[in-house]
Amino acid sequence: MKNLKALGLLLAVSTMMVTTSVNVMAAYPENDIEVIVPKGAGGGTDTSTRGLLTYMEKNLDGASFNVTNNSDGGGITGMLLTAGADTDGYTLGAVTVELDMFCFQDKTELTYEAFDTIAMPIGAPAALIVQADAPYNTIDEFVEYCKENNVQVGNSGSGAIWDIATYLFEEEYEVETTHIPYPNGTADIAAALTGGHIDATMADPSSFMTQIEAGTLKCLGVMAAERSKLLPEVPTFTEEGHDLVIRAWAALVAPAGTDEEVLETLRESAKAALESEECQDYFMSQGIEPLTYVGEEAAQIIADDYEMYKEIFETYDFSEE
Amino acid sequence: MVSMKKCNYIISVVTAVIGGIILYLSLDLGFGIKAKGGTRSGTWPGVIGILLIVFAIVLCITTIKNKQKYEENKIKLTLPENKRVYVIMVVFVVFSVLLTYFGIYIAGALMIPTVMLILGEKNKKTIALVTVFTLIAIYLIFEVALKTKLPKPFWV
Amino acid sequence: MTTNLITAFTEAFSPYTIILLLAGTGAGILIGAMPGLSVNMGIALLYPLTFAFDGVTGIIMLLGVYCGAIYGGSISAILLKTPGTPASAATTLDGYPMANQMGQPGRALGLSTMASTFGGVFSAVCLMIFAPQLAKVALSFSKPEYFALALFGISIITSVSSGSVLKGVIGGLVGLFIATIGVDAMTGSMRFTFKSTYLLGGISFIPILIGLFAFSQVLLSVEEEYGQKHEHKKVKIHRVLPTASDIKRVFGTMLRSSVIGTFIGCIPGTGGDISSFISYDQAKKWSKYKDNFGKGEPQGIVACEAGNNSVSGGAMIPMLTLGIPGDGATAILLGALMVQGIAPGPLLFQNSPVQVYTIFIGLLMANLVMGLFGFSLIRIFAQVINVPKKILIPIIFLMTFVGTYSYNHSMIDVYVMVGFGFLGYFLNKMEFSMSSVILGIILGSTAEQNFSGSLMMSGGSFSIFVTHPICLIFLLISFVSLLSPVLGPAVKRIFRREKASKQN
Repeated sequence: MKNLKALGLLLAVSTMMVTTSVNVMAAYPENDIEVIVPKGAGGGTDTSTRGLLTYMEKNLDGASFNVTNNSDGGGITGMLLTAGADTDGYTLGAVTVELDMFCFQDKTELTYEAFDTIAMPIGAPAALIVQADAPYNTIDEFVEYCKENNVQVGNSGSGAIWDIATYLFEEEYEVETTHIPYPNGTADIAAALTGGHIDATMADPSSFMTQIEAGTLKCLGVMAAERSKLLPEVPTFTEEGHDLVIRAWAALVAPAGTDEEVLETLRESAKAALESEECQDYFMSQGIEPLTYVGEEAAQIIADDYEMYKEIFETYDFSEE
Repeated sequence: MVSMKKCNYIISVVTAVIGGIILYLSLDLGFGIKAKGGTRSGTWPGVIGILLIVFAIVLCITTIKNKQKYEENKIKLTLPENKRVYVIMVVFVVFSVLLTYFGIYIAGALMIPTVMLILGEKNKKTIALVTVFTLIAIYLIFEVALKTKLPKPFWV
Repeated sequence: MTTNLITAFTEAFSPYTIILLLAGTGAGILIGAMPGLSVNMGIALLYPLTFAFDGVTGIIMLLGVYCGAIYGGSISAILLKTPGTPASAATTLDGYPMANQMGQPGRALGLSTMASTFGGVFSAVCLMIFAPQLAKVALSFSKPEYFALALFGISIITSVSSGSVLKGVIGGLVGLFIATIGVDAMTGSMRFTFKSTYLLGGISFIPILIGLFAFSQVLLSVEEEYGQKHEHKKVKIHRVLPTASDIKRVFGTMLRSSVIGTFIGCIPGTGGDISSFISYDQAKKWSKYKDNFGKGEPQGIVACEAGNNSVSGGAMIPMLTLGIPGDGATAILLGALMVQGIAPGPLLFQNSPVQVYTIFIGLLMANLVMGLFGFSLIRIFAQVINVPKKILIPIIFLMTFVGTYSYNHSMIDVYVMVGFGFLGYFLNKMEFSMSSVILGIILGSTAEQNFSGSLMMSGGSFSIFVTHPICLIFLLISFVSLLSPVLGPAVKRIFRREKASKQN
């Protein structure tokens, strides 16, 4: 008799607990969720984050994301704000690959460990892009050309990611090129390349897609693990025998220590959003190749890149040469 | 009333000092042109520093040459109207701090009446109306229509 | 081609499009008028709305926002000496004196609206007729040309400094210095950052603009208002459209400034702020009324407003023909077009002719609607002048704070704004020119980065500046422009002596 009563009590209590926790889960999100984007409005990080959030709102009941742009300090301030926010799941943020770089450039103490990763919608690889009428059609032909001539390669800033890609290229193929920084972004590089002022660039292909499709520029290779959906005929550097993978990613994150259930809800919603056809079409139309990494997979990429940049910044000194 | 002559001398000195500091810091960063062609990061600021010192000296010389003209040119810096501006400046320093910790609505509700009183507005109803109306307008335009965040009190 | 044109017309004049255009332009004007809210922010905010509409309809709304915002900045520039957008900073030079000292805000607003509409329409027509040719110009600009253009812009400091030219130069140098704070993108090293995260990104431009122009101006108003017992009589607006004599006076300036703006607009990376100053400078140089500039000269207002609005059509040229956006706003427009499946670039005219024509018509209409709104609302806008100062001043103060905070949600920006506001108050009194500081900040990075970059491209040889013809021309013009305050009087003296000796 006593056992039955005990069992009944146990059952009742456990049911109560389960229902309350389900209610708690179902209750998130109740309010607006703020998302801090550490870059200006209209840029690549901003567009892809807003795009992801728009599609997440569609499949996550009651979710309303409020995006704030804060581009102070090159993005560091925005990322610091996200890292220091409440872990109740109502403040999220975006981080970019620079998170794995700034800590080695004496710019901040912040590392990826201050965040719990939710999803990574984009990870643009460095693509070797040259003029269409250039005498080289493969990576190797280009390398040969570099050995004989002074080749000018555009990047988006000295010590920034595409400059690093160029250095890694030079080290791998044992050539030297002249690095020409275009600090205002890849659109300027596209203009310079189309106008014939530089010979090549190794950068995110999204700004160059219109010219590639029009036939004024051509892409010889991408530094990615797999071929790009935007440029399916272009080989990866890995296929050609040189293991070079550089990608400029942006990820949606929450401050470290956020409730696991909240994170799971967000990750599921993000996964569904990123895998949906409308979202993929939207990204492709912007010239961005959509990724579908969430949670662990995304966190792994961030951690891997951290190690990679640690090594790079220890071997190279970008300031004087 | 201070004369422009005195102001010019002060400006010359301040400019020269700033130019000197900039030049000093730039030399640390590296001056000149690199082997591959680009300028070192201290070159451009260094040149600016040098030019500032040069023009500070030119300003000083021009002022000395035209002593009479500048002596007659008076600037209002210590009249009652200026003093009122300085009071307002203090108000806004306080306002900035209040804004950081107490958010815009509380800080604004304190600032608007204060400024209006300093300006000489005596009508209490006008003050109240302007304060309420402005804050509501700001709320509607920025928080509701444009959905941009405004500073909030630290307990929110 | 005619069938395409007809289809384009019907699409452009559909009720949906017209409503959205009106709403967008109206929103644009308001966003432009408010300091701290930028064109880019307005377009980014309304951009998601374009998803709901197929085809070019949403794009036309964004065009309305774009044109409206550039125009809107002039309203606060003229009435409050506070540029609503950086592109209207130069409009304060003659717009505010005409509204305030001369007591003719209606005339100033009317001239500004007319000039903005003319500039916008002119550049839209250029877009339609000369797009491919002007695109070639855009592509021919490399680092030496950008450097020379920036240097030319900086040389305008000598012409824009209404007080003492010497102090203007010092102000400009300070502006150039402020632009160097942060990460040097050409070398990757950090300059003058003193371990501060904020300074790592450089001191933000908008807080400085609002501080130097708006905040300091309100402080000056506090001083001026002291002891004024009686409200000066209310200003009544008699007519809104510019008079025939005014039109005759400014037409040449308007045309010249529109050409300058369209040209500068089609060079990626340059925008309304640079073109309005260059237009102002050129207007002053070629004007019979040189001495009236800075005191409320109609040509001064018209030059800036035509110069900045004509950038809109110009910036669309590289965006549509090359797929290369000229600035942040056109970058968003580019994205919006791509979402709709319209791919800008060399193949645009072949693949989507109807959409292209609709965009052209849309741009034309956006400018006309903007003019319509402007003229019909001038009477209302001008009433701001009649609001008692005791009420207006605290409101404007609050607006500077809200505007600055809305820009980047940073309290440090607000402190910067207040700091520069205090500084601006004293600098104004000592006859420094705020415009020269702003010019230095706007152009500093462009000048330095392209100088350094040119040397990188030439391997350290300075000959690159001389072998590029466009660069050389601009360098010569800059040289003349910089020395004009000194050369001008000297040349005049020589001529007078010759004349005197001839008469003898």
